[in-house]
Amino acid sequence: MPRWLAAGREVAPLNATPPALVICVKDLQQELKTRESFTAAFFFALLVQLVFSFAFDFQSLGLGFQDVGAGVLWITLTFSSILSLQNSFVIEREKNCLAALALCPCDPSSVFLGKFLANLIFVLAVQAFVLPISALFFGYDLAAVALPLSLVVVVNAAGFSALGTLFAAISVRTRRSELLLPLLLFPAATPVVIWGVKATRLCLAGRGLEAYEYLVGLSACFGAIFAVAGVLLFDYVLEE
Amino acid sequence: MSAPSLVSTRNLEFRFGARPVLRGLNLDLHRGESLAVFGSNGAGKTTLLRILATLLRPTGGEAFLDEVPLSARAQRSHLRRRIGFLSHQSMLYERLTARQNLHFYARMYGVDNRARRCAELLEMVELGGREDDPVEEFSKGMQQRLALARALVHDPELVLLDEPFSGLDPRASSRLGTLLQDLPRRGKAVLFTSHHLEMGLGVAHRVAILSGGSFAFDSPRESTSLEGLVAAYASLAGRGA
Repeated sequence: MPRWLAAGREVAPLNATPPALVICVKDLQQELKTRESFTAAFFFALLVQLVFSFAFDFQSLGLGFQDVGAGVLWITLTFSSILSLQNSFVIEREKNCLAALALCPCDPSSVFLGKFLANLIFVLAVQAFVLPISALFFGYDLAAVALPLSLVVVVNAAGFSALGTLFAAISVRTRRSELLLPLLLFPAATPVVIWGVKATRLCLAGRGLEAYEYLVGLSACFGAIFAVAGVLLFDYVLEE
Repeated sequence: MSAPSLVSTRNLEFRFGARPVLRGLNLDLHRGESLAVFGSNGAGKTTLLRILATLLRPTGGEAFLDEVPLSARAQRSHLRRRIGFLSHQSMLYERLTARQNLHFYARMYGVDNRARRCAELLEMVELGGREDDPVEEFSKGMQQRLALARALVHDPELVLLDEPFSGLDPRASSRLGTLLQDLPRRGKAVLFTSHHLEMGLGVAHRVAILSGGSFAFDSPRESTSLEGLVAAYASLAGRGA
């Protein structure tokens, strides 16, 4: 029988806060104290937007933001997310807190879910600042596409965070984790980034949801697969 | 003693690659009993504690808590609830305050009356006035004391402490010594490693020297003199490590 099936899955008592939520709140509490990752990710995202706004003169090329803007947004999201993903497990490695988490009497999947949730909230918080700034730089009407764009960003960010959380945990015990994480994550995340770019392009072009709902669906499936993989495999990831 | 051991090992083995660290180690520790384990660097003290804490899996033999194998995955959460582990590293979040750290671990262990329990522990380790300071502002000794509070937050039955006296000033060492004597009185089994022979002998019920991957010396305190222990350590420590 596979180990994950043999393992006893413990459920938190009804009166207790679910461990995943406890871990998520702890991570956000730490980030709120220092704002290290948020500041770094935000300014990194800002710089990327700034560089792109100067590098491409859309109007003289006869292009609208909807033609290349999706790529710009997803390059920004992808690279800025790496900062938080890396930090989420580096803080656990610092004083061997990862071992303390592994010793807690909860299902290891709770650790994955807590970290995933905190990473997702962080990525979305950065995007909440980046999207209005990109609208300012590139002069598109964010209000007109806010809702469908939010859906695309949330679904794809969830997929990216699920995969990233799993890979960040795998790479954190290695000596060059900061190098290994992008090397593992970027190739594996290519599908969700491509679907995100395509869906965002259609969204920015003012097309209805029916034009890109299959892309959002694919991204949701991608996220669900890696979230389930994280839940099932995290026991092995935490083990020394 | 006729009562069953709380924690026991049978022919416990552990290898790092090809290098054997523990070789056929047998141990029995009862409720209300404390054991100080001495040994040179690399003798396997930390490895033994990590196996008993369920962080490492032995490559041979088995360790038991109340006769339940520690490798039993289905029981692991239940077993872990009964074990408190103080590591070399503090396992504390440096950006969070002392109180936030204890509350976090108390929540993770599902401790009832968290606020009261955390306040008691902070008083016990004499950090009562510093509970809202970030851990990164604490000295090494203060972090060690808070780490001890963290290890005890869920009132474990088996307390495993890896060099608990390291980084503590004489006063804090003395307080810890008192605590290590008090825990067995409350029915806990305590196993700690140390390089301080005198301190270890002064507080533990039994002393043991880990050498060559197993206990080369294991003796009750009352039949062990400090001179005898020092002589045994000098002849045994480092042998076959």
